[in-house]
Amino acid sequence: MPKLLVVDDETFIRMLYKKEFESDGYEVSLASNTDEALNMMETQQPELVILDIELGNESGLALLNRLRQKYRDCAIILNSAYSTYKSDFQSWLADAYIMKSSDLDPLKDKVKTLLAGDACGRRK
Amino acid sequence: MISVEYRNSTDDSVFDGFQQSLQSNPVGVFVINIEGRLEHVNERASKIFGYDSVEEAHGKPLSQLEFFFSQPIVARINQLLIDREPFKIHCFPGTNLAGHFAHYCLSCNCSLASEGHANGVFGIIEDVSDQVKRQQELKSRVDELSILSQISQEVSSAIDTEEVLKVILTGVTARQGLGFNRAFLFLLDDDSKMLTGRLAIGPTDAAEAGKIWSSLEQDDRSLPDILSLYQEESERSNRSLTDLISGMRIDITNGSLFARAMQERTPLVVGWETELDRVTDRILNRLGEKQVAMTPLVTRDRPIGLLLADNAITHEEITDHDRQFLKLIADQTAAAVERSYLYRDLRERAVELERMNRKLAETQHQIIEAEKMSVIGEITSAVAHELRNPLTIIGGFANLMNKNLDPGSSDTEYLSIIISETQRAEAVLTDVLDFSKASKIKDRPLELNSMIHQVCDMLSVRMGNGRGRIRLGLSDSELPLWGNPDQLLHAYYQILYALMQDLPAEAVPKISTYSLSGDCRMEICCDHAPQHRGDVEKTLMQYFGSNNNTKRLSLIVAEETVKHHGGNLGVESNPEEGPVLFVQLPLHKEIADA
Repeated sequence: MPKLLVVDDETFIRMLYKKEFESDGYEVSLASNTDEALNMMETQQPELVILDIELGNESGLALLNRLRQKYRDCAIILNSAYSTYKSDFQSWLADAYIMKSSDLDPLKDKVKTLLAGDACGRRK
Repeated sequence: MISVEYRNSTDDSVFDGFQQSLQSNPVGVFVINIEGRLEHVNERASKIFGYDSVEEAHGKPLSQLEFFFSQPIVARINQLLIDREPFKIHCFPGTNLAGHFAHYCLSCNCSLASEGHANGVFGIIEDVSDQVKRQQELKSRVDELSILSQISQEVSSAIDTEEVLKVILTGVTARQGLGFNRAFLFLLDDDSKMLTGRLAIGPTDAAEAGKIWSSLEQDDRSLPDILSLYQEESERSNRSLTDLISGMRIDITNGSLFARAMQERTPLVVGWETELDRVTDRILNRLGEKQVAMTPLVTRDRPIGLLLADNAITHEEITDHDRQFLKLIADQTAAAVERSYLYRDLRERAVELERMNRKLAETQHQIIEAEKMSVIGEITSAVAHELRNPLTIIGGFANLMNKNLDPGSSDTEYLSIIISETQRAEAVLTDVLDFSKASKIKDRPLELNSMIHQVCDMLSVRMGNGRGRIRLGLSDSELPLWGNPDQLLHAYYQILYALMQDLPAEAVPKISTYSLSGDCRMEICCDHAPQHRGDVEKTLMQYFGSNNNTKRLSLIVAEETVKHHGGNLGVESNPEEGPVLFVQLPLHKEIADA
């Protein structure tokens, strides 16, 4: 069962994603901040991280940089309510950037694609 | 015969003394009898009339002196015998029998006999030529001062350089003032080495002079009157005279008389006997007059030009007084020209300032508008983001519930409404965010070496496993650019990322940067691994060759970004380093110069 980690400071977002992805057959861990996320990475070793950018007072982009250096094979999707971060240089370290939406299909499709291996064969 | 009886019967000796005094009096005394003949004439009077002696004058008819007294005066004397009204003529010109011309003062009264009837005319005549001359000189000085004063008044209200020059030259040639026939003005070039002919005033020949001067002959013409008359009468001749000197350039470093006047800053009179140097001779030949007065225009101890005047029409001699007075005019001219220059500069500055003020106002308006838009953008962006999370949650859970409901449940309809309305609200938010995003990223100063460092750091993280290694040979000096930071970083990143992905792992590329003819240039080559030159060339040509149509979309965007910033990229073949990929962008001139 593929393991996902959802990092978001919004409780209901975390709850929604857990329900959705678990219903699709994923094993979902949750983290609300950087420390929890790093802890989960160690203990759960997820294959894909869905990462919010504005984590309260913390930066999801800084966490992205740390995750990318330490967990090179882990796919990371930036998932934000903000479209402006898309052009931020730091966000290019992520494998994908999906805007938050009530329609979770695009996010689910991207998760599926990345876990299956993208067109360039970067993953798996 | 009528005789005048002066005799006092009581004292003959007094009468004799009186007659003797009358005879030797410096004032001319004469008596004309009823027959119109000179009855008594003292020595002075006989000399004034041009007779050799008193005896010669005695008994001569008044008619013989008509050429002296003129017809009206003779008529007046005759009338005196009838109306007995004494008269005095303060000044009249006359030429005596000896041909001497002078100005005289005449006073006459009627001589009466003891019976009461008129028996002759008693006259006193005086030569007042010296007084007249002094009066004329005084008038001349007053005229000169008047011209100076009027010039001063006129130029104080004139601000245009041409207008000032015209006033001055008209003053120089005004008949009541200096009365030079022609005046020429030369101004010094910016490099202070050459005098250039600017303006001239005066008639071109005697006929024209007669016409112009006769219209100016009327008394009490003020300088403004003369100026206006000159405008009408002499515009054509002034123009042809100006044409005579326009374009004339006189070197003031070559030792000519012009050069001497300028260097010594003193007025000069060049006379008919003056030995002329070649330059002065050539110029005076062109002006058609060998006697001229010239005086430099000096202001604040700095020569700015030269005023030249002559009497080419009347050939009157130029006196030392004329020269001194010309100097006075020149001093005024210099100050007026300087003032007009200052005014011209001031006017230009004012226009420039006005233009800048307008520009500033426009910019200020734009800034205010931009700031307004920026504030609106930030507010809408913040609100939109705050709304997006709740909408995601509401819509997401509605979707989840909808999936878990029985197909026939009555709640399905309501959940569908929630889901579709949530999606509509999200679409509105997307539009709002697109608007606010547009004002966020702006062009700003950048530095190429710093950007290369950022891109390399990013690449080493992205590539990992020892790949993404790059050798750097960056310029020691900063290479400033102007542009959109995100777009340019993206372009450099995509170019390097594409290259690194396809290069063999051992081929560590080298990036060098330097400035080149106003551009800053980044070059990538693999000079240390000649065995991989073929691979490198193939990769470069695949992505960046001019005839390639299979570029990745990201590279097309990168290339367009570089071009959009006024630069270009391409592949060059270097015999020593092998194929070289270059990206060239314009240096930010202002920062680079600073």
